[in-house]
Order: sequence, then C-alpha cells, then structure tokens
Amino acid sequence: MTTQWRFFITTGLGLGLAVIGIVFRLPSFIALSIPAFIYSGSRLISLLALPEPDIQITRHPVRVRFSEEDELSVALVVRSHAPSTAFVGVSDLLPPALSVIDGDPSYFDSGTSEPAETRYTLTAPRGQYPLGPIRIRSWSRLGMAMRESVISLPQTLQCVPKVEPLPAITIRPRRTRAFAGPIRANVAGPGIDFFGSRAYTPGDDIRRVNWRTYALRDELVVTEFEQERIADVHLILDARARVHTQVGDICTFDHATRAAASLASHFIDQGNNVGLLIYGDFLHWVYPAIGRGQTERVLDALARAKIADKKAFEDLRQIPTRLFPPRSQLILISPLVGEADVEIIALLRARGYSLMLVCPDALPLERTAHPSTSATTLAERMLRLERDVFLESLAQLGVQVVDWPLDVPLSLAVQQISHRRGGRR
Amino acid sequence: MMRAAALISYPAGLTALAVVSTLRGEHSLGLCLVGLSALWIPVVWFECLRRLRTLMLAGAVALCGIAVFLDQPVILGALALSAAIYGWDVCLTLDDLSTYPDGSKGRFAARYLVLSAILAAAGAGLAGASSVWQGTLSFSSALGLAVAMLLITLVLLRLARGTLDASSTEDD
Repeated sequence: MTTQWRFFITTGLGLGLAVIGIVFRLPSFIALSIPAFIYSGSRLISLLALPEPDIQITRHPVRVRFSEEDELSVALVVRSHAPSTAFVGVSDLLPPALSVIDGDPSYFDSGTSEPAETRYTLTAPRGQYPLGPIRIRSWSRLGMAMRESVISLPQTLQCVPKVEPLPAITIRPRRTRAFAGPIRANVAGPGIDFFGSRAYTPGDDIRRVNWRTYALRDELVVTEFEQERIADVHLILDARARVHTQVGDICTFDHATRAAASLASHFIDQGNNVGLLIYGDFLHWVYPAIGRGQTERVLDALARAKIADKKAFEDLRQIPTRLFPPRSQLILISPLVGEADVEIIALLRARGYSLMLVCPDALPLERTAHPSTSATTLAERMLRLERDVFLESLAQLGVQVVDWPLDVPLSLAVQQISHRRGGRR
Repeated sequence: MMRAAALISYPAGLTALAVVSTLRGEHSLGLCLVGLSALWIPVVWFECLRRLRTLMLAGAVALCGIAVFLDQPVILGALALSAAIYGWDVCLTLDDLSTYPDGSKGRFAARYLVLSAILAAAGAGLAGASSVWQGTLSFSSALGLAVAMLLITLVLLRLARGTLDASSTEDD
C-alpha cells in the first residue's frame, strides 16, 4: 500500500466523518475529521513536491554462469539524479531459489548524486534463473510521500551442475574414431599395450621385430600393440519423473545431472567426441563434439534439464538410436525402475552398442521418507533384491554397471569398473 | 523505534478514550475500545495483512465517532483518532522499509517519526480548538460547509490524479 493509497483512505475516513457531521448537524464530528484531513493534506503536499525518481541502476554480475558449489558476487550501482529525492531505496527482487549468503540485495540511503554501490553474494541450486526486476522507492525530504517504480534489468543466471574429477574410466566401444586418444581400439598399431604378434612383412618397422622369437625359431616375428583412439561417447540422462525420487530438497535427478556433467567433462577432457541426450520431457539433444566448448554446451543443457512426466516417454523405448553411430559407446544415467527398462537396455546392447549404466541408488533416500516399520523394511528388502537382479542381469549382458550409492562420491563409485580392466565389448 | 511507536500509539489513544468512557459510564464502549487496542498489538507484532490493519483503523475511527456521539470529550476523541492514524501510518511505513538494511534507515526513521508525531499532534490540537467553539449548524451553514467540502475534495482529487502513476498498486 503506497502513500497514495494511504492518502485516499484517510481522505475517505475524514470525508465520512465530515459528511455525518453535516447531515446530522453534529459539529463534533466535523472537528473529529480534522486530524484525518491534516494527515491527507500533508501527504498530498508531499506527493506533489516529490518529483519522478530519476535513478540509474546498473547490475554487475562478475559472471552469469557459475557452478552449484560456487558463489556469485553481484554489485548494484545506484546513481540518483533527482536532488529533491531525499531518500532512495533499491531492492533487487531475486527469484526465491537464489540464496543471499553475504551482503544485501537492497540499498537505502539519502538520494545523493554520487554513485552508491551495494554488493551481495549468491548461491543457487542447479538451474536457470532470470534475475528479477529492481524496485525503486523514493521518499520526499519530509519522508511523507513515497513513489514506487519497477525497472526491469533482464539478466539470466545459469547455475550449472558441479563437476567432480573422476579417475580413469575404462570403456571399450566397438568402434573408435581415427584420431589418437585414450581408448583401446582393438586394432593393431602404435600403442603401448601388447596386442599380438605376426610374421614379419616387408615394410614393417625393424624395431618391432621380436628378436628373442627369431633366435628361438629362426623366423621374423613382429610384436603388435593395440592402438589407442578417441571414441564417440553418448550420454543419456534419464529425466523421467517416474524413475526419480525426491525427498525434501534432495532429488536423485540432481545427482544424476552431476554425474552426467562429471562424465561428460571427463570424456571430453580425454579428447572424445561426446554428445548428450536428455530423455524425459523432450528429446533434448546436444550434438556430439569435442573440446572445451562442448563441455560448456553440455553443462548449459544440464543446467536447464528438468524432470517431466510424459506419457510418450514412459519407458526407454523412444530413445532415438539413429542419433548414435553404430557400435559407439552409450552411457545411461538412470535409476532403473522396471523390467521394461532392462529389456530396452538389453536391446541396445544387442544392437551392438557398448553400454555403461550409472545407476543412482535411490532406496536409502526413499527409506528416509517412510516410517521404520516391519512392512517398510520388508518392502525395502524386496526392492533391493529386485534392483540387484536387474543390475546383475545387465552385467551378464556385458553392460558396465556403476551401482552408485548417493552418499558416496561418483569418483569412488566408478572405481568399481575402473579396476575391472578389459571385459566384453 | 518505529515498531515501538506503531505498537504504542494506537492502543494508547484508544485506551485513554476507553478509560474516560468507562469512568463516564459507557462500559460497553470502553470494552470495545480496549478490545480493539489489545487486538492491534498482535496484528502489528506478527505483521499481519495490511488490509487488516487498515480495517482496524476504520474500526478506531468508527469507535471514536461513537464516543463523540455519546458525548465524550471531542479533544480526547480527536487525540485517539490522531494516535490511531499515526500508529497505522508508521506500521505501514515500517513494512515499506523492512526490506532494506537496518543500519542505513535510522536517520529516515527518526525524521519520519518526529514529523508524523507533529502532524498528529497538530491535528488533535486543531480538532480540540475547534470543539471549544460550540456553534450549532443551521441549514445554510451546513449547506455551505458541504459545498466547501465537496470543492476541497474535488480539488484534492484533481491534484492527486496527476501524481498517481499507473504503477501505484496495493501490495497485498
């Protein structure tokens, strides 16, 4: 309720008393209306004397893109050009999800023409946030009148998921690209891992001749090494609402986005051609590419990712396999919920894709939402068994399974496959 | 400081009127005034809706009018009314200032409180002074006063129209 409304309310009350006094010939009522009229009159004079606020505001975020674990420093610079504006209050109307951990997004001071600055520090959960408009309130010298205006200073903050450094992860796609990289290509050539030996043919590098075999068998044999190349790695982030669990502020989807960010960053840093498919709300596809720019594109897409409940994406059947080159590496990040999902993964495996499944374990989180009774304990055991059966059956199909308890860092969870060298392609 | 002024002024004026009314035999009026005063404190303390506070101001004005109608002293009624308007205005201004950092608004608050108090006292004083003149309203004087009131209202509204921008809306 601005001062204008207060003026109308008190004027109305004063008029009411005065009218009653006049109609019923009660001078005491007219006398009683005087305080209300004095209040209204002073408001009106102050309002008329108060000029339109001429205030210039600039917002200086150091950067508009930051990580979940980072803090963002924002500065508001306020410059008032109206000399008769005695006091100025400026508030940056922030979205509720942003938390101010230091400083104040509001500023209040006398309206001097000198620029003033207020600073505040923000943290936010993953997401995209349009920074709100800025509300300006200016008071007259007597403080009896206030004008309020809102200016929009559009700016979008992007809070990308936290990227966790990961140890070396062994993946074995059936097809690799032509360029040198970290992934063993199952092809003989320059490398460091032993691949095999064959008879010498003219043109072979003489340094590769196995002289010990020659001494034993009197024939020239060359030692071959396994080539290491880059590969196509496609991350599929399961964003179906039905597979994720949310208890309070904790949601398995946030963990899954962090895992996707860490894995994407890891494989891009190794030089691989990495793409991302967010499956759930819509088929959001980040086209595969290499380099640091691709990391940023993937992180941007993950910052915007939301879980959704769409009938069309009820199961994983709609995964567009045409996007992925044949025999490439797929990494699915999903807390699986049913046999149908397992069947689809088996189907992908049968089509020749090398598959890794990062499966966040949502059961302990879900357990915290229910009271501890014998029924819930039994239900937990049943779900645990069902999940173990699913994961075991996938492992038997040659899927690299990362069973990820959410209280354990992903870097530790992926070690279970890092230690398992080789494996079925 | 502003909260204390808002908490005290409204009930103080109404309680004073309640005491006098009770002493003069108007027990039910005194009870209503005390009840409204008591209700004001939690409403301000818990920062209830602004509409509720405005409704309580209207209630205070109505009770002051009834008190004056029942031959209670006009000066006391005007004082209670001024105190109610003062308390209501200060608590709304307190809301307007609540989003700003505490350290920077002390000077504004002090100036505002003093000025509002002066205006409230002037209103009550003027009302008291006018009540000393015990004139009776004839038909012609009442008609003249009504026309004058109408003209003043029209002038005020016309002046206000220019100052009210489209963005001035109710917050709650």
